[in-house]
Amino acid sequence: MSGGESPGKEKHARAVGARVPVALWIPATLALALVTLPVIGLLLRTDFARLPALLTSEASLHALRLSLLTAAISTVLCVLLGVPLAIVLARSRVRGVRVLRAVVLLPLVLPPVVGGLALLYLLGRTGFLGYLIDVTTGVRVPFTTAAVVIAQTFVAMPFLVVSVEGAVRAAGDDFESVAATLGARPWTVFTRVTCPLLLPALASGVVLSFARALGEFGATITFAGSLQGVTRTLPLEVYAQAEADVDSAVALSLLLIVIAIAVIVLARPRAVEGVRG
Amino acid sequence: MAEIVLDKVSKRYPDGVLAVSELDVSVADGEFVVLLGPPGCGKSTVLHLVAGLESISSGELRIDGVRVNEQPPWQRDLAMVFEGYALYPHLSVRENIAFPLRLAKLPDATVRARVGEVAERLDLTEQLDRRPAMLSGGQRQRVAIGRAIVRNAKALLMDEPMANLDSKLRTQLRSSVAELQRDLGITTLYVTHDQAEAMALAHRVVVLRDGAVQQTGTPRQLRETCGE
Repeated sequence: MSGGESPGKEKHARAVGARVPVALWIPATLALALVTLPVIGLLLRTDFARLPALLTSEASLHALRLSLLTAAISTVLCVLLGVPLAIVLARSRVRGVRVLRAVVLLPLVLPPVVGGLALLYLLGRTGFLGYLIDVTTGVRVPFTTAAVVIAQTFVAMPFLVVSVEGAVRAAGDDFESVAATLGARPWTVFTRVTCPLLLPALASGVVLSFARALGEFGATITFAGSLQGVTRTLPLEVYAQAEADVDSAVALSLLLIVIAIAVIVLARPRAVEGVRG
Repeated sequence: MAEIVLDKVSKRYPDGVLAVSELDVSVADGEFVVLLGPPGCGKSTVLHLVAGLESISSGELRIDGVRVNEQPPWQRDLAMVFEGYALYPHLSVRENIAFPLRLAKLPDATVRARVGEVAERLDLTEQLDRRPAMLSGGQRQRVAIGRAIVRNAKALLMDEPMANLDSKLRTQLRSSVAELQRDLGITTLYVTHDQAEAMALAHRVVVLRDGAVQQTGTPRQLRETCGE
């Protein structure tokens, strides 16, 4: 994919014929340094001899397993809830949908800690929904693995919604109208036309939400706490180890960076298009 | 094949705009009627009303004498070609044309045969395994037409199907569209803002202005009234 990407970009640059002013190179280099140097710093600090042992310690493995599990479940929830929401937001002509759209994007700009706190006061024992659930079913949501999933879904869903909604808007509704006149019922239109058309945007949305869920920290620690094996995901483990065993924290950070790079390589070209569209 | 009658059909949008006003238009079985008018005169809305993509506010739409106002588009058995063609990018030309037949769950052999026939008629045989993105504008238009005619619908609705083509190609394609309609004998309602196109294609032209019929007649009759 990256092989097919570069010739297109070169052609584009030539077509525009714009030369980059020299003055832009200085801040551009600084920006690049700001992004790359910390990673290099982390690499230099890594104790590569102890790396395998640090990554396979019981706490690390717990955190890794928990992170992958919760992020996967959150991503599935994002898809199941986010795709219908994106379609409604893009298509509905009901008044107030614009306001709704802004609300949905809130977790994107909100500090995750605030999100976590809000979830705690909704689903905590004193929160109105939390109290209701506690009284009726005896279930307490906060500080459980389920709370981790809820926190991750909360912060990650906007990525999926934005990506898919953009694609729905860009596609317009002619594709669906044609299908209807050709004999397709609404559900058939959805499965045979809408879904396949949205697949590329959905793929990039999935990768982005998964990455966001995997990296979730603020909402998780506030709403779910940091209990090893239950709610302490990789980022929380990094935070916990930063005090206790710096080498371990660095090793886990490296792992998260590797995963992040994999995500970028996997999804970047489509993801950027999706968000823009 | 079918006869389409619009009997005092109006369309008023929720914001109060009257897009179509007490329109009386009839298309006889096998007839080629062109709705001609400037952009925004309501001609595309008329097609959407006939196709069932928008609801009729008042008046009656009859196909073969039966009121179909309340019928959803997928039951009307009409075929529509859109201005932008709306070919499915994830499907090959073959599967685009086969789409309505797949919806009808026809057996594979029948689908193959019908798609083959249509492709040959529209000179698309070489392109069957390509994706729409790889086709020229004229080829895309032919695929859209193929997808519409493949299941022998009651009538063909065409919304500015030439608008996205360059003028030279447009002139060339007029004759092939007219020929196709004649061969199939399919009742056709065609929308355009291009007067020359309307005159070249239509058995009868209906000139629309502000959602109402301004004038109607055969191309010859219209030429005579305009000529003086």
